Amino acid sequence: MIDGKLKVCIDFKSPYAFVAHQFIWSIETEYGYEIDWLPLTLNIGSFLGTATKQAGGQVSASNRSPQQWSVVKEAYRDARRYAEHQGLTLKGPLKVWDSSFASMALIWSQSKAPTRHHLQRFMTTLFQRFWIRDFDLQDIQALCALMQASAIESDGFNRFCAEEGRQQHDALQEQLLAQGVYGVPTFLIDDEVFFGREQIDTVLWRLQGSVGPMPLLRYPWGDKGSAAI
Amino acid sequence: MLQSDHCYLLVDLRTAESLIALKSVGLWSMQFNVPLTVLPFIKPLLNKAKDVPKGAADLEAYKALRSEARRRVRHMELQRDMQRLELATMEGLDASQWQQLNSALLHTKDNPLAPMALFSALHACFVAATKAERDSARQALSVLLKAHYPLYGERFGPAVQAELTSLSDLLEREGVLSSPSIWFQGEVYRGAAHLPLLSARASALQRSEW
Repeated sequence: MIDGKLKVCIDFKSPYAFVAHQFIWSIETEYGYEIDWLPLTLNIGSFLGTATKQAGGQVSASNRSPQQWSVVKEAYRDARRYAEHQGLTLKGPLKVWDSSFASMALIWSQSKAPTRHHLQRFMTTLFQRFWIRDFDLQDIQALCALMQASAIESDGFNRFCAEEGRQQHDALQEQLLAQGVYGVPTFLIDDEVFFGREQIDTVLWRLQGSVGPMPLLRYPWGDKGSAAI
Repeated sequence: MLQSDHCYLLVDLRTAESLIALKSVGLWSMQFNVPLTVLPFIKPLLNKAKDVPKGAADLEAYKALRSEARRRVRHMELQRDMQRLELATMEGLDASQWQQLNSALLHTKDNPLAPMALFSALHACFVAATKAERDSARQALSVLLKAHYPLYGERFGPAVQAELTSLSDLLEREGVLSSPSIWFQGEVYRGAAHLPLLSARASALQRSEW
């Protein structure tokens, strides 16, 4: 058994984090390994370019190459397969979001949530509303309202975002990148880095003492999303 | 060219990921009785960041850090894949042999070798390489190629290279971006990690046929 706590890096604007989220929670709720959630705010424009779409789906501005578009479209097509199977709706975002306030909300909520269940409810609702285009990740007031709806204290979050929270967030980004975290979801056990939701079985195997052969990589296939609401 | 009642596994046998896919997708195809054809798809790893215009110094620093992080994690994943394959190394074959091996897959129609048999034969090559028997590894591969792909020796050269390129172009039009990928029922799945989903689809297909 490994003593190190499991750390999981996510970004609310990642479709892969969205479809993996409830399966990752099951490591804690079903197997008993408490998760330290760490926000990684991806700079998507730095590797996939940026684009803005109108509500109808027409691209109004883009600096993406054809190859980048192929990768982006394939990623959404793929994530949608898994979302639909969980009874979740995944609508492609109309722009590349700055999710840093949502990341700070995760840092805040993890320390303020009265129970782990409240934290799970906050994260699940945020993910689900964002992916039906019903939530503005850059709106601090909307994040506060969601915390309140999840029975998480929100007083002081505004100031947190301007001061301590921003500092913690920015320092964390540097620290994670230096540790080898470049995408989400990523799992950290001690110094070992596991990138992608296909690693959940391997992460569990490692947490349980690496007994028997190492599992193959596989994307979780089930109905965790709808069951958790 | 791709037949809708077939499943295609697109591989670059130089990679541990493709070798694992060969075994796991091979077993899956036997379990669900899905005809499987293994084809080469040789493309350099996508570097999407290179298409992003140069930016401010802090953006370039971020890109460099992210690139280094990616390199480190890919190395960790390779180590785990080698553990999954129970191999210490996949070295021992030179570049031209890899090219021959991947090209030989073009001729599976002429003299097909079942995916699991191909996996076992390749694995044996790497076991030999693991024991530092480089000559044994090369010899094992040579025997494999001669026994199962008799036409490859005659056809290897510019014509085969053109055939490889033409196949890659066709697969790219089908939506294949990298190896290993699986083409099943007109859809592309990147990586053997999709097998749980594919198993569900194959089961549903079998039920509908009943």
